[in-house]
Amino acid sequence: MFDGLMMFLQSLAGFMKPMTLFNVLWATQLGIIIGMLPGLTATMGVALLTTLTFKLPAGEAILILICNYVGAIYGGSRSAILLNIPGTPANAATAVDGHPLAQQGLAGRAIGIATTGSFLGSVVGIFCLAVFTPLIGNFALNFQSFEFFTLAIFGVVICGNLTAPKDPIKGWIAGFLGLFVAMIGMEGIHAHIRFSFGNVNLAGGIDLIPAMVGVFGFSEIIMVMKNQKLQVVNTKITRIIPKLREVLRYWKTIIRSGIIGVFVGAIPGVGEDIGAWVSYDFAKNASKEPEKFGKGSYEGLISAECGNNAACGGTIIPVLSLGIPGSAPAAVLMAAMFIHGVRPGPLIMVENPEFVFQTVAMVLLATVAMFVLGLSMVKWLVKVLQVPREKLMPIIFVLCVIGAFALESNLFDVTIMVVFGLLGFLMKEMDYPVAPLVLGIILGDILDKNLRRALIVSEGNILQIFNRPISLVIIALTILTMLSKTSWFRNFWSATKKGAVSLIKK
Amino acid sequence: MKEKDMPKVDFITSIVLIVFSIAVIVMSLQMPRFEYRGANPWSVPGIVPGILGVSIGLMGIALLVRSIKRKGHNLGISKEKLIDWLHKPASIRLLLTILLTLIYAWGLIGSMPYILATFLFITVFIIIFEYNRKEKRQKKTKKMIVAIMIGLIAAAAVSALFQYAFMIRLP
Repeated sequence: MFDGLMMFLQSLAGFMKPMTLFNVLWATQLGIIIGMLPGLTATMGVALLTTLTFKLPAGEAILILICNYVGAIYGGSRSAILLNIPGTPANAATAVDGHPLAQQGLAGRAIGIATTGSFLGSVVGIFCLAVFTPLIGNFALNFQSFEFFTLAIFGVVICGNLTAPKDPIKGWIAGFLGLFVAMIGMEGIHAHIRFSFGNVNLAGGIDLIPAMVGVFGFSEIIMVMKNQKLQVVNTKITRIIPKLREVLRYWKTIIRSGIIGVFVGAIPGVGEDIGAWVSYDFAKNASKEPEKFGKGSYEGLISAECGNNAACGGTIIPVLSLGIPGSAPAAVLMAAMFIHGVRPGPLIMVENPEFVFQTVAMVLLATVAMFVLGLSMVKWLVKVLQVPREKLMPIIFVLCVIGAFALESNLFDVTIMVVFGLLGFLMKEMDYPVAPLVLGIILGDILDKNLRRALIVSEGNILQIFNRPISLVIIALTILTMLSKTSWFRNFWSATKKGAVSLIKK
Repeated sequence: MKEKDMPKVDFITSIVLIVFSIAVIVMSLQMPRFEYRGANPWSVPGIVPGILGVSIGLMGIALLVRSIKRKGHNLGISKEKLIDWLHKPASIRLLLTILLTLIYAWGLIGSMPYILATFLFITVFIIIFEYNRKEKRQKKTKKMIVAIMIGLIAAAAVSALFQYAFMIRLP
């Protein structure tokens, strides 16, 4: 415990250099701007910055990416409040109460409350990141092929469930397509090249970063250009910094939303948007004034913003401890860690424990920068929202192209970006979530190697999975996740609940 | 996409998914098994893609059954509907965006200096999307000059930033 604290303090002291602090400030501010602009998401921002910073030293580059990530998840609250359009999907719940406040002429206060909520949520996230990563990491040392295989399937299934709540089968299809994409190229056991059709570029496999820039960048550009123009609310922004009393009134909501955010964030592939919605839902159910929700409730606003920023810390927990990302931006962050020679996963607490606490220090710096920058330069930054999309989008596309090209200096990666962008657009149009696709691309390799290893070890007797307690629990959870979406299970569940209630009454 | 069109879309995609899954299963079965190397039969390269192919196929069938139950197989595609769709402003913006971006990514980049390709793309993109027939000539010219300025500045800034600050070779 104290070792951890010492490592954290040492890392924090190590970052106290003028150049590093300058990087923290610009990366967070850029994140806030990226988050604010509808069409530019946190994932896109982190993916583009990964390609730009890959020549920097590992620590500096990852610090810049984390600052950008935390800033973008917060920044989306601005457009949610002022435009009623969430800047990133994570801020959709923010718009529900934030925008009515702006319409009532309270935009400044809403921005202040959202900033404070994000800050406090992040603090809960940092605390959980520091405490749970080592615990889960040590526990995960017991994981073997069976566990990793079941975990990969569980990740794809639950991600599909939660990102496509209306139609989970589309989420699962997206996830399995992602797993298939990971099969392209040379496999890890016999070095056989699969599904390349003689193409030298495909033989190397599909790189994650160009695919993600396409799915989260190019497809968004097409979406933004297709849709109608946005109108900024004309509102005066007056007092921004909230009174302490206004925030402390909701201390229960803050703690609850923080914990929910971290928990949801830590579920593979699920992410900040669901974290915000679940926190918002819980806050509404527990509130003394639920009727105000949706009409400009400070409590609703604070729960949503607290939930999504707490999820930022949460999404990094499985990245470090299991090598499985909690959300799409965390997936890019993980890819960036690999590029910089850090191997996140169960062995990190053995091989590189300092890095875990260094990451905690990075998130703390990003959070402080977000809080300070979030409460300053508000009026000036609102002007960014007025840049017309016709002028902004071609420049963003230019960045997507060069971002995809930059890592390997290969024009084939630009093609990958374009193809995945078009695929992402089509998927979104047809109500398929894109997050499971990306999670599938990441987990495909883990699934392939571990399923085959498990089959070799058990001589083809896959039923041995049921002899291992951890994999048994993961399988039970996977089946429960799938069944929970079927209508007969829901009927059965509600009937059981009714039965239990009548028994208690008797 | 409208909610009422979804079963039709699902019908088409489910067929695409089923065909795709059959192709994946066939290719997985054709993959080498390395018996001559004495490889463990459970380690062969085709096993996981094969399982994925079967899973995608099963989900495709589930989607197909559901879409047929919701009358998705009555596609009702007609020339008039297609022409109607093509005349919508959103469709025009969509197709133009895809066309311009593809020309830049697959045509211009690599065939001319990067800075020139980028300048042309940004400027033409802005001019086309900001074009309004009803506006006065003077305003149109002003818009065009602004577009050229933005194109020039953005192309120069991006090129310089990547080449000198991030030390990345330009395409």
